[in-house]
Amino acid sequence: MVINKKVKRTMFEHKSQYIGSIILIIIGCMLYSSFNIAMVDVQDNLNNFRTVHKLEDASFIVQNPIPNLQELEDKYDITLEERKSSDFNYDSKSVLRILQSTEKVDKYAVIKGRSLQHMGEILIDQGFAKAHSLSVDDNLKINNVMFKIVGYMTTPDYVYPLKSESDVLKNPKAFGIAVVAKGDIEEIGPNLTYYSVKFNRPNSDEFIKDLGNKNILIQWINKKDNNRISFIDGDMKGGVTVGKDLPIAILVLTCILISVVLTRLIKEEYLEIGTLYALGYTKKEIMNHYFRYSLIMSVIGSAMGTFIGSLLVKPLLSEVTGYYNLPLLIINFDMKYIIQSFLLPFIFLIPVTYIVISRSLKLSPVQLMRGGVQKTKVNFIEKSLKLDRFKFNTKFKIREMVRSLPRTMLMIFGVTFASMLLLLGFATKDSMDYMVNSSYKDIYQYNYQYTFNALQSGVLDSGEKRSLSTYTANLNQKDENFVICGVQKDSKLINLVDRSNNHLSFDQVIITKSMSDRYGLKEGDSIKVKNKLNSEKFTIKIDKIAKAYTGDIIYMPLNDFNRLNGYPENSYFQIDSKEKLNIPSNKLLAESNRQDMIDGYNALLLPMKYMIGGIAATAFIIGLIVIYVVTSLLIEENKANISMFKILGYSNKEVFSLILSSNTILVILGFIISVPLILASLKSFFNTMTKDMNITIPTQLYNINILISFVIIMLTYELSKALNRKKVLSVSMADSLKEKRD
Amino acid sequence: MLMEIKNMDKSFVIGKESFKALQNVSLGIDRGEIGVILGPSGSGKSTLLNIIGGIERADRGSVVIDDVDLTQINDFKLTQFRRNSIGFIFQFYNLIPNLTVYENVEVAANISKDALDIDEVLHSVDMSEFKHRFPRELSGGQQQRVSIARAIVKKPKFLLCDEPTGALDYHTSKEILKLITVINKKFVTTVLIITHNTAISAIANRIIKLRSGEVIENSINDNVLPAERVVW
Repeated sequence: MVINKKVKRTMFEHKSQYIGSIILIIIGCMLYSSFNIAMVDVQDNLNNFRTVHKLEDASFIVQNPIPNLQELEDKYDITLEERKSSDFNYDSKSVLRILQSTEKVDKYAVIKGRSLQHMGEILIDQGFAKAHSLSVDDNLKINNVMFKIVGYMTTPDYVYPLKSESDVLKNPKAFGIAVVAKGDIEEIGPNLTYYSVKFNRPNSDEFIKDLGNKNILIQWINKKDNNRISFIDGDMKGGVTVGKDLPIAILVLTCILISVVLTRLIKEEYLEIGTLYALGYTKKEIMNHYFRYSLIMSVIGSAMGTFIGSLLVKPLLSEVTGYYNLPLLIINFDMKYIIQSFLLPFIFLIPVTYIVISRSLKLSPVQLMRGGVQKTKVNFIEKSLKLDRFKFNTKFKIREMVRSLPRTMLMIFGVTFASMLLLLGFATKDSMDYMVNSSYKDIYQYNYQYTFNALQSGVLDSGEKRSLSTYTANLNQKDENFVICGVQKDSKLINLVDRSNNHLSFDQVIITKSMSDRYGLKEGDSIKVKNKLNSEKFTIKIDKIAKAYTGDIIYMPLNDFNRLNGYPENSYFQIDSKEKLNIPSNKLLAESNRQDMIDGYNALLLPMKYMIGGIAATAFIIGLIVIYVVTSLLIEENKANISMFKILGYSNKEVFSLILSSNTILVILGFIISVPLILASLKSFFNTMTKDMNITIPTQLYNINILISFVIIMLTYELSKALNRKKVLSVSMADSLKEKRD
Repeated sequence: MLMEIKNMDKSFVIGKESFKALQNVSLGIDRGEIGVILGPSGSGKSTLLNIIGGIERADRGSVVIDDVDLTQINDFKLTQFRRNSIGFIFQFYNLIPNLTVYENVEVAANISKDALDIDEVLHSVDMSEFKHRFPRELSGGQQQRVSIARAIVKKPKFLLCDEPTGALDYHTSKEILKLITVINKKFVTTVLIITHNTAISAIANRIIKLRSGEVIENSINDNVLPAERVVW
């Protein structure tokens, strides 16, 4: 039809509005396709890796070696493997954990190079190799045994290589893993023997009970409580949320934007529509014509967005595999997501476009040719504001806002969304900052922590005794695992405070805030707990809640801990110390250094800054598009008014103030709304992410970053105003003179 | 003399063609006069009014109003000139739809250093009782009264009226013409009306006729009639 020739021409006349909408669709589809395809690929490959390479269900340490592995395997229908490891001090600041190659559980996968074939060969994790400039074919001397690096590898239980399974942040500069053949680990001299188990039936409780009867179970860690294994699952959930929720929010924003633009376009063309009706065009033909605007934007936006998103899958996967110790992933372009990404804008925009067009086309040809039905009533908001008390400029600006509610809502929603995106980066960093500072700087005052591989007793020369064990309790109708930590009553190396920052002494039972929040536990509540290691059961009453987010931990006096668990008086499993202690490595299960954690966090800061920069740039683009489009709509709707202001003698500055600055309050309002919204969204996002992890991330947003974000949003607003100034200047005064207005 | 135009030309480029809207126009109006510019469509009336009002610029010649040559001043000074010296009345009133009657007058008062009292002005155009209404709630004649109030509230020296009765019925048109003459007397405002209705020239002291962009007649009307007696 000939009238469709004008679609392209109209779009070019108002190109900023249409290009802005298309860019938003591109961003939405790009995020949707890239994140979903990449996350599905990571999840599929991870699942495949875990299945093929036999990820453990749990690992444990017992005081005495288990002699009858085969017997236990048969009895409980389990796969059980003895494992040995040795922590090698690669240099003064880094530890390389040498693992014995396994055959049944947690089998390694080669990422680069080849598998172990001979004695004297070693495979290392690529993060550690990169951080220490180690390459395939290099030689590595460990405890006087020379090894040749034959490749890079990963194991399913070290996908996120943490020194301790309760750590949070990895640091390849300080810790890495390597795998050697069984014979070689004996050459190096192992300092830890532990077991990995995989259950075929839900009989872990019976197995643990049996182990405890014949041996002393020192440590039992389910894969869910092992951050090395479970951390990636939390991140995957985060990635899936980003891949689903964010593009949908962008498309909702685009829908509002396009509906406002189309409504404006149709109103402007009432006369033409009326004339077309009068000429004999049907409603369907006219509707088809206006549908083309949405269809063209959707086709261009979704095709480009999906295409760019597909190109981003590979770099995104490289980023994930680089961060996690994962085997090389096979890129499988799941057509489901390509199709969904392409169709998503249509699914959102077609109904919205239909509603907008059909509402407008309800008018009769005569009404349309008269420019539509004029509203004669002042809306409720405008009435209730009692504008007479304000100065002219204020009245004009307020009227502009309340008269065009869809445009006002678009402005608020757009600014809120862009601000939320901007604050997301800052809030993530602030929350991590807070977690690290509160946990590793404020709470834990020790520098070194030594965990023994057997129960210790006696008096210490330096440091503080500690004991901890994993417990289970029925919380919220589910058996949940958590840690109870026995602490010396006079402890100076753990500093817990309550909500009002009052110091909490260790002569009482204290739970962390994260545990209290997760399970709804309050001061005075009692819980029945069962020790996972020795099945001892007792009831404890919660005295205080501490402001701590490291995990689900209950602190109690060490003497009470020993008594309730049936351990000897003054016995302990752990020593925390300010100074480095000289403890033989064969007595230790683990040794950790608080500085490693802080260094790990500092190492994460740079990529985090890039992430914040990336998010801020996206927020800036989205904010700029929305504010620019809304302002340009405002100018178009006010062309006659601007013209009149100019004729009356208003200076350019005065016209800018009346027209361009009328949205200032909306931008500020949008930003204010975004602060509580992002805090609530991020809290829910972190809860989803850490649901199955052994940490809680407290949501924080520092005032300085709120201020920085506000300045960025205001700069975006000022920029969009500056870009629109030309439009105001180009409004001709002569246009107004002959214009017929109602 | 309040306004003196000498040898003024104005052309427009439409597509690739140049079109002469005004050619060698010379005319003048004395302070306190009512002038009427008559001419058919396309004669250049509106272009002439726009140039006098400082909305468009002449290509050649001089346009001196109240001792200021509009062809020689920059955009800022031209804006100040419009702000301080000119009042406009339009055929289709050009009121701002989302402002009340009072606020539409306030639009002009807002930028004037020495504006008249808005209520008094509304009273003088008989619109006091409608001051809280919006333009769409008014008849055409009432809207034109508001337009006049808006034009005179800043005490302009020159009131430029572009087909002020063009959209109105006979009786309302006569009322508006009466109002314009009253304002001319009361505020000693010089008035220039462009129209194609020759009957309106009866209320004018000076009659200027345009055809194809040229002044074909510039005469003094010795038989000025009150608006009530004008018929067409």
